Amino acid sequence: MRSLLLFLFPFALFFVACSSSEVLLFTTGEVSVLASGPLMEGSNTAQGEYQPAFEQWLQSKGASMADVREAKLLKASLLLPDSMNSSLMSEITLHLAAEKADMQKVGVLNPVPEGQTRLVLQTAQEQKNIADFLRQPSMTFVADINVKKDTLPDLHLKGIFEFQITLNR
Amino acid sequence: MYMKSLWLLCGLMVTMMTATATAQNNGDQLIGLWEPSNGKARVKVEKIGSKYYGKIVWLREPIDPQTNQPKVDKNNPDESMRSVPLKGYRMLKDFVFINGEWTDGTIYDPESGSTYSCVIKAKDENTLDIRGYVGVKALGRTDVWKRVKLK
Repeated sequence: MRSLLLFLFPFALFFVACSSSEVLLFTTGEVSVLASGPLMEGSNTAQGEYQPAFEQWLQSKGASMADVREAKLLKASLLLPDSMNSSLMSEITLHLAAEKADMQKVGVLNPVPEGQTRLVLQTAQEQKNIADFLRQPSMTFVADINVKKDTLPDLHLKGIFEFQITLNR
Repeated sequence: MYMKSLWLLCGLMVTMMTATATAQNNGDQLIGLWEPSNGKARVKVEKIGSKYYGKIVWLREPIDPQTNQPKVDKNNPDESMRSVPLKGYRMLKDFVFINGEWTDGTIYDPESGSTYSCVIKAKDENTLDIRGYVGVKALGRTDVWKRVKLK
């Protein structure tokens, strides 16, 4: 038994060394997300374009694209202007879209709590190839917002998105 | 002689630019409101970046009789996304317009929770052939969608 453990020990050590990783947070700052009015009762599309500059961010952390093992949207918040609150909205679904990546649903808020100016969405448990979005020069946050009644003006939101980046180290 | 060549070149460039613009316009023909043959829903197609996406904006039966609440994506394989409302659901994703058809996209069937590869062809400006398939196009099913004209 002891010789078996001694035999396996170098392999276990090798496995641990190879699988070491580092987890970092990549936050977007405030992204302008706009739904052009008039908003109609039902589903309306709000879009916010964002340039991730992900490669530069990785370089600042002493890493490169090749080091990225996994990326995941951890938190998604939408901030409403002071002049309005969330009572107008019933549900929100959030997607990521980009030229060279397939659109992916990453968050939902159903129902939207009333009387709020900061909405925190529930993020998807299953997310695939999120790094593909961050790698691109530009990506779009798409918020499908169901509103309860017709309303005339544009809807200007601010989005703050936090990605968890796992690096091979 | 030099002047003639210059005019020919300009003419060629204008023709190419017009052809490109026409191709883009043809692609944008997909934008609008459409109804599948079963009439259960209406799907609004819009363009985000250079790709086309469609979402459900109207349901004939919006309320789930089991819960008495608005229908949600209860068959989604990801449990955390089962509260996504079907009203507003993006069932057509990532279509690009190539050689007179919208391709490389997917269609989601909320009734089964399954996603299929999909290609869309316009029969005329108000009729679409929507073909969902798994693997090869030959093994699929085509549905005819009609444009909904708002009064």
